[in-house]
Amino acid sequence: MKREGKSRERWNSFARRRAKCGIVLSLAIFLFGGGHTSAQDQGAPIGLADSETIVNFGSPVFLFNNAAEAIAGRRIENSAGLGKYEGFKNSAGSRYLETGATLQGIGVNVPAAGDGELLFVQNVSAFHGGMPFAAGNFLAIAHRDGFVSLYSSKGFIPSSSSKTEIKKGDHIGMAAKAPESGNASYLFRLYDGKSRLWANPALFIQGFNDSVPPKIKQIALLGEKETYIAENRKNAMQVIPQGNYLLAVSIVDPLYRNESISGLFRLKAVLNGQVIADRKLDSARITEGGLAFLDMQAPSSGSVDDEGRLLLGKQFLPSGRHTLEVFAYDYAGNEARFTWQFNAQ
Amino acid sequence: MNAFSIRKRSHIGWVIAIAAMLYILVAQRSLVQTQPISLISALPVSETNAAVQSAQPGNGFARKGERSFVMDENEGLLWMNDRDGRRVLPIYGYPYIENGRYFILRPDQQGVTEISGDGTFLWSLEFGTPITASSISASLSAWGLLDGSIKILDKEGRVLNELNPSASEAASKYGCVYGVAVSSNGETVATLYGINPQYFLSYAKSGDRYRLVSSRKLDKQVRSVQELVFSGAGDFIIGRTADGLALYDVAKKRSKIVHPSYFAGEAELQIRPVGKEGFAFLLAKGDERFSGLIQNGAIEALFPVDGAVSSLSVEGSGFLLTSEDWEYRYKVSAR
Repeated sequence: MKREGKSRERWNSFARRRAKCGIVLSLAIFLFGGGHTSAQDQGAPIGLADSETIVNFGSPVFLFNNAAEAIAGRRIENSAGLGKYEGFKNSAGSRYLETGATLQGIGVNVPAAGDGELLFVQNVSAFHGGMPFAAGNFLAIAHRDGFVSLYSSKGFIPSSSSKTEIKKGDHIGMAAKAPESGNASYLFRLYDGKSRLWANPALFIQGFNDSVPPKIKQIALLGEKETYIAENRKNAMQVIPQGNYLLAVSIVDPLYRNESISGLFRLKAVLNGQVIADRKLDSARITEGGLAFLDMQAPSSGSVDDEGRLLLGKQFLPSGRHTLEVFAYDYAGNEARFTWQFNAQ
Repeated sequence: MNAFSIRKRSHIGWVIAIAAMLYILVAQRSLVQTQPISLISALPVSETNAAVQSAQPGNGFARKGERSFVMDENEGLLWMNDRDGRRVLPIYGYPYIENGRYFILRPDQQGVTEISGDGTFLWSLEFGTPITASSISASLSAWGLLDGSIKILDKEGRVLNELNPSASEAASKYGCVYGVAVSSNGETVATLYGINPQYFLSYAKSGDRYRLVSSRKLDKQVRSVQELVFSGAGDFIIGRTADGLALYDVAKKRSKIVHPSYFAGEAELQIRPVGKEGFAFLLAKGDERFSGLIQNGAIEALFPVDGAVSSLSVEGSGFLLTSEDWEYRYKVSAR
């Protein structure tokens, strides 16, 4: 019950965000007002079952930094000219945040998450050339109230049926089986066309089986010249110069046995008892500049640094002793906390 | 391998080549008169070209001596190679080479990066929804998105215009871009847009904005990307729709649907401009392949080709059909 209450609270928060985007809430309240169970019972446009789900929403992906590691750690036959490719590393396009969740199908079949109409199919072409299918084969279904669900994977084979009206649970394609479960594994994304945002799929998944809290790997203060990594030393308190800093945190939501990963959902930072940041990964707004996560500016690369740390905003640190507490919650409600005491001079 | 076996293989290759030519000339009779087109050669794909093409499955085309991209499936990385074929930059993305420009698409198909010919980063842009269609000219690029919008960018990646057909007269229930073409001067944009109903729309630039100048509501609709292509002189646009071939006359600002019997229904069409006003095409219908020529909206030639043909490219005044093993060269004669 406690978890269901939290889920309802999270949905309401998301719904408020939709309302901010100018959308009438009535449908959302009608669909999800009674919590996840009743949402599915009431015929929500989207409903997903939890089965070894991995929610990736807000996880950073690197296009060139990983590549740079590959250069450093592995073979590279022409290392002489690498200097000029440094420009890729810190470019806006070098990284982005994910918008989906990896779901398991039923056997090899991928079920539709709700009633709707076939909107777009990207399938193997008879021809070579043209724009590559970077996302692999994918299929998009338009649902009522502006939602569009996307299903993709490299091994995804959209159904060859010419049926365009789709019912919830219809098999819309086949995907390669995940080695452990024997079920199809595919990427699910959900776009809210009316509100112009990507919704975290976790909001539509019933009863997460996730008992492990996220892990706060690192807290960093990014100054103009130096970066300070949080350490709680036994003998002496860490000292940093006073000034303006960008708070950055590196967090993972780990996998435990055959459970799901409900994904990082909320980040809260408290400085000397005052909340300085409280941000949610419930959605990503679509703006002219791309996707805006965590209430930060678009593109999504602006919400993560080149070390994969999520950015929570700027803070002035005056001279004196400070206590910074960072709380991280996954969607299932598991909490992680890190308290850092330091001196600013 | 000894000299005798090499000679033997070479002879077998020529025998197969001659047999293929005879097959095309005799067995594959044209469906429509073929006077403007003649087969010049049907030859096995050279090892060099085969290597280059197979290194880039579905991802553009680069000949020896140009920068190339090689997807290493084991590493999950794309390697950008220099002109000598050496690996210089690993990228987690997908190459898109068009009109001499090099793009890298993000794995979620929601962002694009352009790099120069020597591999230098130029610009990068994140889109709100996945890219469904694109059109690249030397100085512009147009990106059609799943949400039904079209972004037109300059060579530096700046958004010059955003077209939203739903804001004009195209009242589709669902917006999505299934095809887009932008002229090289940016004066004309055409798109295949929407579901329930689907439209073939054309826009003309008026000051800093685009104005809808032609709208054709279609009876049937496609759900996958279709090519829309400008003629060499920029006077016509053609593209496949579920109703047939859509043709737009830029000067007259008029569109029409032609040849539904050949192009409607389940099919794939690859189109390339030939000369100033012609289009060579490669049509896939099930396992069958057809090629031909369109001039001024009329089919000048249509004939079946090797069912294994998988790409069409233009060479001077002619065109080239390529399968994994064979290259068929055609010459287009002036009438």
